[in-house]
Amino acid sequence: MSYKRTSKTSQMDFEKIVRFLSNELSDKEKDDFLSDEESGNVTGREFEQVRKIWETSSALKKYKMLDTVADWATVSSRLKPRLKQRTRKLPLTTMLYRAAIIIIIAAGLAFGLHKVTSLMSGHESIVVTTDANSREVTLPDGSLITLNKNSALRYNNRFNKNNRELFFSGEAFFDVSKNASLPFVIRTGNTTIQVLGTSFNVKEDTCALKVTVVSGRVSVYETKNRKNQVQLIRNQTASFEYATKKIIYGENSDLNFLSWKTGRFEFFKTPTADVLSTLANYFDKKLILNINLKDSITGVFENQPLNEILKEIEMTTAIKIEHGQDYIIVRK
Amino acid sequence: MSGELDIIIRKLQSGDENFYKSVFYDYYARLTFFANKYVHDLEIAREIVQDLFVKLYERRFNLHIETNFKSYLYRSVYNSCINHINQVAVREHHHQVIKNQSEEQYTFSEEEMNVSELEHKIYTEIEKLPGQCRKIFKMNRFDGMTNSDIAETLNLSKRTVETQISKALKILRGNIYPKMLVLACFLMAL
Repeated sequence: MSYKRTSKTSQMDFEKIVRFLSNELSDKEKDDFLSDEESGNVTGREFEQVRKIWETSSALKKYKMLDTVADWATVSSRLKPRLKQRTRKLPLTTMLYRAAIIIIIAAGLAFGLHKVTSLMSGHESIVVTTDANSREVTLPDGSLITLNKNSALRYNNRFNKNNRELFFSGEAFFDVSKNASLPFVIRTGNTTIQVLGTSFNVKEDTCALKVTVVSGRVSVYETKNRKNQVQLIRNQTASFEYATKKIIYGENSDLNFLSWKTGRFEFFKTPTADVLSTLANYFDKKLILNINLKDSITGVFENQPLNEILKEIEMTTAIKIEHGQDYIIVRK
Repeated sequence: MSGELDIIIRKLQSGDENFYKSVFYDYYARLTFFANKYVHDLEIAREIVQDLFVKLYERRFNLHIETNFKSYLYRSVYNSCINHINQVAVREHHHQVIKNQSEEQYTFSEEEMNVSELEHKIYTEIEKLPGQCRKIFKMNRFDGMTNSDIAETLNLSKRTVETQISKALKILRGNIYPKMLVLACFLMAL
């Protein structure tokens, strides 16, 4: 008896329930339904559960009134200045850099510098930092480094004699000159990047350090655990996640990892939202999306001002874009 | 459970923005509507929950989460709501009266939390329904349309609409009360 009933609790009963709940039964049918229900065609508990779902769901339209994505953008911007500060350059190291610069300017205080930069085994340090603009630095070995905004590097006066080691934070493009006998070693927070002669981009992000190789061969490893290491070749990219200490690597699919240096943006069937977020990132604006974007964009922008780029995007898509000093806002 | 809580706390303390984002996406709506039950103002409810996430980040090295993360979030929202209600009361000079009232009327209840949780569960399960079935169910429940109206709008027979709605209810019940179902089958099999 029981087996048949379980399989039968189905179609008929549920449709009756629907008609009952929709208030489409006559009084007599209602009575029949209720007595039927008691007699066990639908178990009382099952019916109550369905009724509960039915009644609760009528109040759930309100869920549409919230825009979680937009509200997260607000919350995230309230966290961001702090998140950025913490990861872009650790407050302590930033202070060390600042201290180091002042001391160099003051000159002759090499002794104090030793203490400040004891990490460098006590030799005179050369520190280069950037604030609002990027800049190029040529190292004693001829390597050319382009430092992005808010970045810093430091090396000592033995660089290119005993070693080619430097400390770095932020984002930079390294074009390293070849010297097979002196490996070029970059120390960042937890990771070390070691090369002989190549060019590649290094970026410290909120949750990971990212290395993308343009030419040559690069090894990336966790400073304290050399076994945690990957070897990258041309057009490969690796991310070292700070939280898990995992290194993930593969082919690089980011066409614009060097935009900060070249001012060139290339998009190939890129979703509009990603295009805007790339631009917002580059021009230091916060992106506010008030609609769901569906289209994608293919095209190249070369050293164009933001308003020009946005105008071109507006012309090819059906969206309206406004931008202010801090924002890019997208409307229908 | 405590192991899970440890992981959550460690994640929070790492300051990983993606983790905050995933928690926000997961909890924002239900916490906001939970707050709205107390403050009766969606704007204020939103503000309360957004503030909670900022505080969560700022105080991440100083969190006292006793039971589990979910009730911690609900309790924090609840406390902020009561603070808000009291502040409004002070502003309106009904301080004493309303304070007494609020102490009587408002204590954090697991039951209210569970109501919000159920709502959230039902909402997410509705979103998971197959296309046509979900559309029809929402037209009925969210937009308050009758089955005949839905049938006309979609150019279907009323019977099809009813079948789709009963299908929806069947799926929803199965997913929302799964244990009960298993238990029921088990008992029947006996």
